[in-house]
Amino acid sequence: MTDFEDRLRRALAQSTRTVADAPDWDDLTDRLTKRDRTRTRWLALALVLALLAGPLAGFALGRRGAGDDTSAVRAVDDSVRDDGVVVGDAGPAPTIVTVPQDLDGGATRPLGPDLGGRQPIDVYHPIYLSSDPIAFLFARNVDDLRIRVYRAATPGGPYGPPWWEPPAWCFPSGYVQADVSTDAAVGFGHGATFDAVRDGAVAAELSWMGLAEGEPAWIVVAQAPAGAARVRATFPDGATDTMGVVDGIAVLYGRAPDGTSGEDLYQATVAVDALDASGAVVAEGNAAMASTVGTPEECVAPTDLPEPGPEQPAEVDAARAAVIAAYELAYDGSKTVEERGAAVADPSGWQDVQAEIDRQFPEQVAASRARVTEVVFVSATRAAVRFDIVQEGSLYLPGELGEAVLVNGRWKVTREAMCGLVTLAGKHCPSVD
Amino acid sequence: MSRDGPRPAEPPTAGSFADLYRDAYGDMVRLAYLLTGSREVARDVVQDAFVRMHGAFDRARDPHAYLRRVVVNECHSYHRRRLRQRHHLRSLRLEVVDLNADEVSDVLATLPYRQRAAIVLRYWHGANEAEIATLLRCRPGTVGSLLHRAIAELRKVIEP
Repeated sequence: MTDFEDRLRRALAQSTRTVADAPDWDDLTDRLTKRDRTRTRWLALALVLALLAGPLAGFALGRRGAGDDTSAVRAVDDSVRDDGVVVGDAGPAPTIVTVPQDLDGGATRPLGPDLGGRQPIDVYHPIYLSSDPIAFLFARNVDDLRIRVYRAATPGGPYGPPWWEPPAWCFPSGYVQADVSTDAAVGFGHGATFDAVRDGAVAAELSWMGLAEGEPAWIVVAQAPAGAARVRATFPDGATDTMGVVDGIAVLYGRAPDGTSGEDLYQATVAVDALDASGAVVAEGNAAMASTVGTPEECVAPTDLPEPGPEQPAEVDAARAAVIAAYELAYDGSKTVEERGAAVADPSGWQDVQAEIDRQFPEQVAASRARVTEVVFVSATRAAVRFDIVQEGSLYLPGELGEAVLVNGRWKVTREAMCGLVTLAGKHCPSVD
Repeated sequence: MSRDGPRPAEPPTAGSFADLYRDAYGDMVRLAYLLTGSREVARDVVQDAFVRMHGAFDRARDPHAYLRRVVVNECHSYHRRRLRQRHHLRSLRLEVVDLNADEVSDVLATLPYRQRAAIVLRYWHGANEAEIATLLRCRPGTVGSLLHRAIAELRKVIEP
């Protein structure tokens, strides 16, 4: 071991000496109770869906009448597709959805407008606790296996410098949840979805269920590339499951051998192939527990400013001072949104979002200022900027990257730069058409 | 293999879940702290790991190894969620620093997660490359590469 490694080892050991927590039995008990309650909730949900989904969907589709003969996937009838897939109706009203948001309190909220004009209720996925609404996508029924699949868009986009354009497969744009039940067990799988998947690849995530019930199984949520007709999962014991994609999405189920341990379930890797209509493999991937997948290099936001462009402003020093002034005004929390907007190239959309943030975090915003540390002119009318956000003199967000543009003779912060930073507050500017 | 750090207790061979919780909690929190840089997150991750462990305890061949794996993966999930939710801060750009207990967390934060995990598992936990490979689900050769690149990055910001 080198001297450097030895110093590193000692520093690591020292740094944890102040982390001396005692086990918190009360908290653990609370969490176990909550977990059990959640399991009960989803069991209840599965029962509700199992009891209501079919009749409700049939009722809703029936109301739309026999004139809807566009394709088999419009009908809700288990016989429509050989693989037992029932695709959700694309009409305006939710037909199946509906999980009461507070099952704990025994709240029973009414179902959707197709059932008497009462209000629909969004389904909330249990893992990320997002407030994004989630909608029914399809159901899949094979023997005693019942899968209900829901999808939500997750607005946002890459968090990085405005000039960075990562591949579409880097950042999720949606979320899929599959509620799965068999006669013996209930569980759910989930996976991120993307505007596009990587060439030749299948995006897939693995979940498990049924361990406590003695019926261990894997659930694969997969997104296939355009042109794929089916997705096939090959599980560790060699068993396969295949289904035709619905809007690029497939949910596969693999029963693990009896006695499979939680560790083996967790460590499993499932091979996932996308097939075209002829059965040829067009894309491949693996599904493992999502947390084991590293971030590809292409998806890591650059931290360097671009090189200076061949064209520079006539008065570079004056231009640099103007850029700095624009940033200082745009991020001066003591000013009103309208005043700050004067330093933004196109404040449309951003101002409303910023005003919301100002109301939500008044003290933090009021204390915030920008401190520009580097300006690079990539052209005579555009600059890349590195800046810190400080709050009462303390570094809050170091090394942010932004852009400035020359508009009618005045340097201003770009809308994209402003909108990029508001994502840190969980907000998103509306898209500009 | 020798180390000064608090080597986690050997896996209990026939203990109960309570024994595992009592014996392993502190070390798991310290591991999670080094992997996340936050005491609060570390406590949360480890408690959740034990909740997950609770359901699988009877079936785990090596509960301690399984628990460690869950913690490492939950910490990775934490980093991924931060990225996904755009709440993460971009990698810190540190000036050259001396390497001490106060700075080491900031220094680790400059590394991608797998490099960070490889460093912590190697130099704090004392794991060998095969063990790290198992925990990070990669080939042993990849661990060598991760460690090599991480050390090279750390040398850039740590005073010689």
